[in-house]
Amino acid sequence: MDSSPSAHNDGKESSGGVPRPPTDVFLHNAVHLSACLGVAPRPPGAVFLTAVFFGGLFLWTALYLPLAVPVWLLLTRAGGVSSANAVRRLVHCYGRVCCKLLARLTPVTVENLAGALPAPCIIAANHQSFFDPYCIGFFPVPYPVFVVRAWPFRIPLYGRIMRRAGYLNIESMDAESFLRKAADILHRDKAMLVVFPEGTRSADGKPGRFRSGAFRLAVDRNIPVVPLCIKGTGNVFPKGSRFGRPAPVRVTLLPPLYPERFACYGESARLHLRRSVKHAIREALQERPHC
Amino acid sequence: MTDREIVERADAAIAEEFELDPGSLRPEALFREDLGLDSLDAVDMVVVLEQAFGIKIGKDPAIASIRNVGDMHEFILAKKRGLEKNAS
Repeated sequence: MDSSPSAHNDGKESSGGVPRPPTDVFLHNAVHLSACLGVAPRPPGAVFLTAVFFGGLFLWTALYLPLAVPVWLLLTRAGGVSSANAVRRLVHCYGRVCCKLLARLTPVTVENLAGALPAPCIIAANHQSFFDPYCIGFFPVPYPVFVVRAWPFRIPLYGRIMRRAGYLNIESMDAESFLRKAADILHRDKAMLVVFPEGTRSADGKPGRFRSGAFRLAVDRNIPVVPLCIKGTGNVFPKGSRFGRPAPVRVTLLPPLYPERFACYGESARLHLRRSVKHAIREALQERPHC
Repeated sequence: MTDREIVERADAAIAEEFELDPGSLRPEALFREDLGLDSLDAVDMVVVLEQAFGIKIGKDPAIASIRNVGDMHEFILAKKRGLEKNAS
């Protein structure tokens, strides 16, 4: 039997003959002390993950920006790619590296049950953490166009890149303008619209209420919707916490849902499509409870 | 369509769109504080009311003054009355 001080202690006497409380009592006391001080206890690896991830993100961003400009010029001048599509492609490459960085720090499982994605299409994802938009980098989505609220457009540099990429500020337009602009982009650029229909991150990991805008677009313009189930990013980067922590992540692209299947519902087709997408995501979240 | 029918239709459309309990749509219920709706939902609310009543609301400035369910009822009733007056 290992009697070293670092060995697991189950409440028996230590090598010095003084009874020690079990390890989980220490843990309980640490949690209690943290709660008294109003500080969330940090699980093992939290500081390492946070430092490496955000340090890596900062380094990668600093390296990538000077590289991206000549590549953008090459794509637009020699490659015949539109300016917005070139920015979208560059953003996707940036996201791919961010995904690889996360996968180095925590177990990540990626599943594509959708096969080759139809283009154009709408990717509708549940939202658990700030990392979720990067999750598109796990899949071959060459020209993602994000539908974003107003505040991210105010982030220096990011906002400028988002405007260059033609991302849609949902809070700056009415329903008709959104339908028209989104449909134009999707058909003209063969792009893929990425939406988080909850509009905000879920605090408990369960999908919240879905907004209808993207589903109205899908029904009006007959564009397939591909549900994306993101599970575990909310545990890695909890809402309201400054520290990340290692936890399993599973990202699953689910089979597309085609709006013509819902045409029989008439004016409420968008609501039925919305429910089906949410149901598919909820089912995928419930499968394999431990990722 | 009577005023009561208009109110019932508006409530049914809003409850279905926003997954709300129809019983929670009391006239004094505030959209933001009591029903949990936000600025993103305002866009959907316009579309839902337009579809439910076959009217054009668009960028009507009066929509910005809607704070509670009662305001929404008043707004939609005024719209319908305006349309009926124009038609006659």
